[in-house]
Amino acid sequence: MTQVRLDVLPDAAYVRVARLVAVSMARLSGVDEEVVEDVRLAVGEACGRAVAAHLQHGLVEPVSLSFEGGRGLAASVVDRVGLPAARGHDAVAVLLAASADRPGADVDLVAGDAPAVLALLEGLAQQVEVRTGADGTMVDLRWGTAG
Amino acid sequence: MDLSLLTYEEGDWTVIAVGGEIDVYTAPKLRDALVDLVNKGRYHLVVDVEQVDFLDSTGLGVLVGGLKRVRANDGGLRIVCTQERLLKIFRITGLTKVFAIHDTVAAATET
Repeated sequence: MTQVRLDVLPDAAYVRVARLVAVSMARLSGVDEEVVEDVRLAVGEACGRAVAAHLQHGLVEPVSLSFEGGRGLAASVVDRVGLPAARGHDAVAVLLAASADRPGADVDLVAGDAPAVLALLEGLAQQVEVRTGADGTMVDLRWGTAG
Repeated sequence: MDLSLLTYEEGDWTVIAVGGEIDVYTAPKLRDALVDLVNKGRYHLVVDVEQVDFLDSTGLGVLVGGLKRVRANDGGLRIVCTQERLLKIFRITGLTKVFAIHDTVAAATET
């Protein structure tokens, strides 16, 4: 089992670093090569959403990512924006509500736009779990091994 | 990889050939290019993403924003894409029903 932790400053320029680490971990963990692209996009979306949340709330702390590889890959992306506590579908509803309440958001730059991000996460990861709380939001993504 | 943009005219259409990665960091550059074209009165746009290596939801948002702008002026925005990994993203987000997606620039610029 391999564990990698990564703190990403809330700056859009660094989201690609998270994607690069995700791809490396996916390959090291035996994820099917055809699925590696899904890992790259899903982790990028989760990280971009978290970075956008920090920027929108003026948080300078980094977004935290952790990867656990071995038989497949587990990726976890955590932001520090406090929201009502919820899990699963309720947590998705909390994120959607928070996303809809963003005064001044640039309509074209929907980094962290919850509907699109959540649709992509559901479509790309083999398992998705979302938890919200006063300490922030955790998005857990999982993929199995090839074959 | 950064974003590259090449703009040229093809009949009544303005083609923007995009290369590289369209993500949360580079998407503003594409957004600015689309806004600039609309401000210059170009309302029939084709965005060619055949040379794009990566596209995320921010990039999709910029394309949707561009479509809204040209439609407000009775125009259109068409996509050229044959890459399955990008088409998958359009499908997951339901945007295959929003954009006309063509295989070639020639097909996209047919009236």
